[in-house]
Amino acid sequence: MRLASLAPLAPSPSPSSARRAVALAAGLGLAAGACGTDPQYIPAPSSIEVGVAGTDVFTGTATIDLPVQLETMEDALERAERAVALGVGADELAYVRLADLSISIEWTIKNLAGSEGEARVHVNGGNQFWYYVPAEFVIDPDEDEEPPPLAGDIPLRVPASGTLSGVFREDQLREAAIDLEQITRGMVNPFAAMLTINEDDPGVAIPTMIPLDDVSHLVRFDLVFEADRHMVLEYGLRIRDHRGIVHRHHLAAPPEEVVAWNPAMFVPVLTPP
Amino acid sequence: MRRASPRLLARRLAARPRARSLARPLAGWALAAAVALPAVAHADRPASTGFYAEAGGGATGHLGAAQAWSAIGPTLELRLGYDLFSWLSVGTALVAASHEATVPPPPEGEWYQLYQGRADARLGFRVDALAFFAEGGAGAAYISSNILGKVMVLDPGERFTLALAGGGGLEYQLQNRHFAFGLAATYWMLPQFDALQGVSGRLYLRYTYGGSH
Repeated sequence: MRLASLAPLAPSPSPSSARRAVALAAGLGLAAGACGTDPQYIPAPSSIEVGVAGTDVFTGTATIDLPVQLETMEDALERAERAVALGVGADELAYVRLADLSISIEWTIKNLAGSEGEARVHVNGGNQFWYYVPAEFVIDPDEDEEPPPLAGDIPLRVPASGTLSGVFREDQLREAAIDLEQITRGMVNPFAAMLTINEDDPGVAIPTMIPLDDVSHLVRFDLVFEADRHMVLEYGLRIRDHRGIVHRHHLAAPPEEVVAWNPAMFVPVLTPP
Repeated sequence: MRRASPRLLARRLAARPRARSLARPLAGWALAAAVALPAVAHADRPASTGFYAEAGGGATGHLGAAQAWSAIGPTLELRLGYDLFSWLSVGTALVAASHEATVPPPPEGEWYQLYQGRADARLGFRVDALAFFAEGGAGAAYISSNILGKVMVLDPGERFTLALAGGGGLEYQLQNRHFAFGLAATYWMLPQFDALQGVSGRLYLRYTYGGSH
């Protein structure tokens, strides 16, 4: 006897089955298309090596500028309209704002020495208006303490011939961007700015209050690496681009296609005693 | 009854062993064909032919040098198409795979997704409830991030590539003529991504909307 003759009759195919198949296909297509904020990785153009035998250089620095496409006419109009809505001048509202990008910095320290050592990583940087140099706040080296960097400065123990990895998270760099805006255009003391968490604030006064999502984002990253022996810092940016403004060729982009950031170094205004 | 002459008899006897040595294998092949061909042509278990949808899941791993830069990851595959004949189908394959990038840190512990969309053709035959097939196709692939750019698999700004694939598998026809389960393996290659290549294996359920064959 054939097995088929024992089989129950197959249900007659209904249009709903075909619709389900089409819906499944559409769902997969949507899932594939909903990846607009997939991370992009920008490796550092070079690593930072300090403590090389025969030298007494135990601090190194490097800077990465964010490769952002030139502002289009539509972008400029949208920014001007937003500025009017906020009650600020169009030139006071940054092209790259906090809502546009989520950035983190991933790093790895390699200890090339044969003994355990200590290292620190600082992140400073700038938005399109100002960049922050903590040493500029030291007027009298005997009296003034240098303010902390925008992020980092945690002592890290790195095992002999070992590696240590870490990340400056998106929320930390978002907070750093808010602190920079407070220090520069908000005229807030850097110690006060660093010691307060502003993620739940309604905005930043520059002096007109602007919402956090409209605060200028960091577009320049200054990394400072300190170590007490021979070590190398490798790092890279991880960016989720919510607005599609980061150039797809990243640091290999033609210079004429990306914004040449030229922020001014922020120098605090001395108030008379 | 006519008696054969001794000369003719001797000739027949001399020819007999040679005829037997040829006839035996031919008879074997004929017997095998007689048994197998009706089974192939008239499979015992009925199966629908027509529009089909296939959904499956499994795992994908890379081959060659890229094996060091990506871990084996889960994969989902959806196929839609039409059976032109019981032995030939054409359709599209949509594949999504997720992999942990194991490039030198940083970054560390990051994942990326690889999407492929291909036009496929499938050739096969069925013996009772089991079908055997080979399939292949070409299309395009998209990678969700540039993380493999660190190891030169991707060039700056590169996200799309031609995709080529081929493979095979077997399928078990359920007693319900519309449904079948299958197990398949596919080799794929992405020429523009530094000839990135890999193998995926999947278990799938196939639904065919159509009359019985």
